[in-house]
Amino acid sequence: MSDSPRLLQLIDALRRLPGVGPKSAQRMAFHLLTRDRSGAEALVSSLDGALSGIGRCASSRMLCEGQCGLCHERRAATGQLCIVEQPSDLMAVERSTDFRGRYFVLMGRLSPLDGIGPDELGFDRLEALLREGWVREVILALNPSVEAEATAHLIEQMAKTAGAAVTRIAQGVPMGGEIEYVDGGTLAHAFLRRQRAVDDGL
Amino acid sequence: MPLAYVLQSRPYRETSALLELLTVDAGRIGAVARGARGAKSRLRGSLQPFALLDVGLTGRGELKTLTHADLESPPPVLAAERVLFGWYLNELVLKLLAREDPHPRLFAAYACAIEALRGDEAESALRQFEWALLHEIGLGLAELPAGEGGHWAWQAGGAWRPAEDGRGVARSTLAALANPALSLDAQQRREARRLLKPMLDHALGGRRLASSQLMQAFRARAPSA
Repeated sequence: MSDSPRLLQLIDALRRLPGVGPKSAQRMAFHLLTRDRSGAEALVSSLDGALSGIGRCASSRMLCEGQCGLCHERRAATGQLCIVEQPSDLMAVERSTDFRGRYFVLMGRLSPLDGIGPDELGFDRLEALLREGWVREVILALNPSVEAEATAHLIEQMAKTAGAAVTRIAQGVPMGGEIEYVDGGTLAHAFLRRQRAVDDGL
Repeated sequence: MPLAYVLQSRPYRETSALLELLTVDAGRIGAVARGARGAKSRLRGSLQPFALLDVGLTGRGELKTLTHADLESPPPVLAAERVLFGWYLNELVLKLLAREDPHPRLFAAYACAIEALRGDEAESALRQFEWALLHEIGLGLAELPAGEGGHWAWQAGGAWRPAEDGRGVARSTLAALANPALSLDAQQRREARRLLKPMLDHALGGRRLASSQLMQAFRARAPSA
C-alpha cells in the first residue's frame, strides 16, 4: 500500500498547504482515507466550488464570489478607501475596526529587488478607482516596513493628483507591550510620530 | 562579533527569511534566518534593509545560518524617495559584488552613504558610493590624475586623459568624489553622473536596475504641480 501512486500523489498535494510537511501530510491523507471519507468528499466539493466560484474583484482586487460585497454604493458613500497589502489584512481591519468604507488590496508591497513594482500591485486599477471621484480620504493600512514606506509615498502622489487626502494608521508600541522589549525601529518610529497626550483643541 | 548591514530580506519557507548581508570582514554574504518571521520572533523588526546588525553566522557553504542578530542601529527613518536611493545602493552591491569577497573599505563607504541618506547631501553620497564601488571592484579608478586643475575624461583600461572644458570632469569633482567628507555641488553632481553612469553600465553588463526603473515610475506619477 505504501507505494500506491494515488496515495503518494495525495500526500504530495497536501504538502502544498502552508505549514504542512511530509509527516503531517501523511497523517492527513490516512485520516481522510480511513476515518473520515465523508469529510474528504466535503473537502473535494468545497474546494471544487471555491475554485470555480471565487474570483478576484476587478475593483478592490479582493477575493469575491460574484458581486463583490465590499464595493457597494453604501461603502463608497463614506468617501473612504482603505488600502491593505493582503486579503488577510482586509479581514483583520473589517473584523476589529468600525471602518465601513471601501478597500483596495495591493497583494504585496513595492520591492524592486524582488521584482515587485507598480504593475504587480495593480496601481493602474488604483488610479482608475481614484479617478471615479468619490474618494475623499485614502487610509493606508500597510504593514510597517521600509518597503511600505516607499509604497505609501507612491500612493500619496497618486491620491494627491486625484485630490484625495491621505492618512496612515498609527504605529507604535502594541497594547500590553513593554517599551523595554519593543524593538529599536518601532520605538524610534513611536517617538518620531508622538502625539499630544490630551486633546486640548477644545 | 561581526557587523553587517541588511541589503535584502526575502521570505523563505513558512517563517524564515533569506538575507543578503554586507559585512566588514567577509563582504557580501547570503544567510538564512530561521524562524525570523514567526509570530514570536524578536528579529522581525530588525531584519529590514539598511539596518545595522551585530550578527553570528555559522555554516561552511555559500549560504550561512544566522545564529543571532542584535540591532546595532535600526534602519534610518527615511522619506520615500530616499528609500529608493537606498534600494539603489543595495542593488548595486547585490549585482556588482560577488559573495564572500571582503571589501572593508566598501563597508565603510556604504555606512557613510546610508548615514547620508537622511541628510541634504544624499545625492552626493550616491555618487561617492558609486565611485567607491567601482574602485573596489577594480575598474581602474585607482589613481587620480596628477595636478590640481584641468578637466579629465576616463578611458577604458583605467587611464585619465585631459579633456576640453565642459566635456570632461573637473579635477576638483574627482577629488570630491573620492572623499566622503566633501560634498558635490549641482554642477559637480552632473559631471560625476556623466562620468560614472557609463562606467556602471559597463560593469553591469547590460543588466538593468529595478530600483532605477521604479524611480522613473515615481517621477512619472509625481503630481505636476
